[in-house]
Amino acid sequence: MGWAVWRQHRTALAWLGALLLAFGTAVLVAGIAVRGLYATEIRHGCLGSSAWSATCRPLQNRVLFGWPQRYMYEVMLLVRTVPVVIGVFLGAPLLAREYTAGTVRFAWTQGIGRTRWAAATLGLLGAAAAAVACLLALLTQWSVQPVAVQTPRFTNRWHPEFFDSTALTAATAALLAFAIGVLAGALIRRVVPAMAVTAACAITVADLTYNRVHYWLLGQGLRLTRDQALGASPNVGIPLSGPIYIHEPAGPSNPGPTGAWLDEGWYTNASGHRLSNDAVIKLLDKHAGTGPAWLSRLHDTFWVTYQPGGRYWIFQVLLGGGTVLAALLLGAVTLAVIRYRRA
Amino acid sequence: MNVIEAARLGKRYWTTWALRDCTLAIPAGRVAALAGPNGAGKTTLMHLAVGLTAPTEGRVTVLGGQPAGSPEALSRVAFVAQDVPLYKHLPVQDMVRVAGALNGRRWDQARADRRLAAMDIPLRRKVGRLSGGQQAQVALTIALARRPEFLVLDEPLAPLDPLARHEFLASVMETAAEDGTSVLFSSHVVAELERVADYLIVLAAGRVQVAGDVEDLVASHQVLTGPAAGTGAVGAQFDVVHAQKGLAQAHLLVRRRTAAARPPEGWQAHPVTLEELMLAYLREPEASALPGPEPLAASAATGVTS
Repeated sequence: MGWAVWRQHRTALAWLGALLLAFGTAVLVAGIAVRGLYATEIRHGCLGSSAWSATCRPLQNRVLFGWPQRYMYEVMLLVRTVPVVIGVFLGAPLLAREYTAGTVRFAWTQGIGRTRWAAATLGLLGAAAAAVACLLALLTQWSVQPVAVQTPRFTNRWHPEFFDSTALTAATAALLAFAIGVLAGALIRRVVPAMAVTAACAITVADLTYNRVHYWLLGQGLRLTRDQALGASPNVGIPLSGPIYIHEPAGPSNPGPTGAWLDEGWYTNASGHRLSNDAVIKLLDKHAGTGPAWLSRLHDTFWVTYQPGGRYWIFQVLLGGGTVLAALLLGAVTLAVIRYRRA
Repeated sequence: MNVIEAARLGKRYWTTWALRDCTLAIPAGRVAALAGPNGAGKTTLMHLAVGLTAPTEGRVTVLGGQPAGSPEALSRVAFVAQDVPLYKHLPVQDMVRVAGALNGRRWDQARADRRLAAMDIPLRRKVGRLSGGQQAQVALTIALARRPEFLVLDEPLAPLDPLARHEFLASVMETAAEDGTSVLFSSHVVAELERVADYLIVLAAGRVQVAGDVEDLVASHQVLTGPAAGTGAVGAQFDVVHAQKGLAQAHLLVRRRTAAARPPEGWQAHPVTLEELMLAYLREPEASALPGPEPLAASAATGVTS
């Protein structure tokens, strides 16, 4: 059966291989270049925020403000489109083409039976899709890592760009997009409309994961800590409307538990009451530059909720596992559609 | 054993019944022809029998009680669908090997190889590049390599030229004779049914109109020619299927009620061809020739009350 699936979908798999090769080569070349620059920085002892010397500045500027920085953001965006591409070009045509060509009448009347035929086909191609996405994500993360470590506030492993595109989460995202495409093909039964619907759905899912699910998930089971030093940070003192969502890792300018992901922050006054954002803004305006320090002198306290760094892999598994569950659910629906709808 | 038993089988697509109240039993070991005009429900009946479609009402079993489309039924029934759907982008040899992978232990690769070689089909050519006749032969080869006990062919001859039709039918007949495979094939072309079929089912407007052994059907029907004024006398011993009356003479296609039935005085009897018989029934949708007790017995055996 494995051979039959391979033979029948060889062309599609070849395209997937070509994508892997082209994308992979580009990322590999870029990664080698980035790592060359990084090695130079290390050689001159230029890592760390204290190393702004005359020798280091041009080196650091080249990484942080030159092409490596742009490359990092663009390739991270690109790697998130891989699952969508897989869903649209591998998933959607899979069953839609069988319906339009009428070959379901062949495939579903063979001895193996339609359920086993579908399970084997979807299982093997889904695994191939996940493997390709996994490899590309690994390569991409390897290639941008030297840039990322130098801008930890914006490119930490907790940030959705990275968190949602690890080898694990990229693979599961590809599996889900593939499952969306296959189901769309089974329901719509025409190749191009199925591809269009898959594109819309897969992009929506990726967008929701990135902008909503990610923050919702990392907001579960938060711990709370009081941090005077954090309150003194010039950055977190900038109040937004509503609660102050920090959504940054603890680090040099965000003191907090090492490796933690900071979720939300607020000030309380000496009597323990939460200060409104308006009050904080007024205080900051009045004491421009010295505001936060002034707040702490008055025994106001900055509170922050956070996810401990040790939970990173738990949340990786939760996001990946949830995505796999969603993909399996769609797969089960597809099998039910294949079983119970007329050919 | 019956290769198909259907009891009050019906299939509705949205509001239209494609097949209705179909009770039928086709005995094993026959080459059965399923005839009828386009849209009569032939394809629907076949799709129900091979499990591609689920019935709206009633039930259908194959090979002595196996539910249509069950694993057991799928492994013993081979189906060649209308317009021979195959993976057109695959070379012939790969298409056949893919089919082998979908069929497990019963698959007979040697038989497939022998047939393809005998038919001179280029193995490396893509299926889509073959002629219609060759594609049909590839589909038949795949069906036969499954060593089916029951072979179902939906309009297999429609896309073929006369020579290819002849070859195709010869292949089917040879298999039926060699392996004892039961065959059911549909066609709306009457002449070719007559050559090969020994069992006939006529569907019209979603209902079974005629079902029975070709020999019995032909023997029990006659064309009577006699005075147009005296048609009433015929009704005593014959059922009139179709009447064609002129001013003086009438031609009646009739069915004998008993083997002893003789035409009344002044009437002449002529034997009927299968084609005449079918056309007569198709012109008279209310008439039917069904072997009464058999389908009822079949439905009783499968536990369905009718």
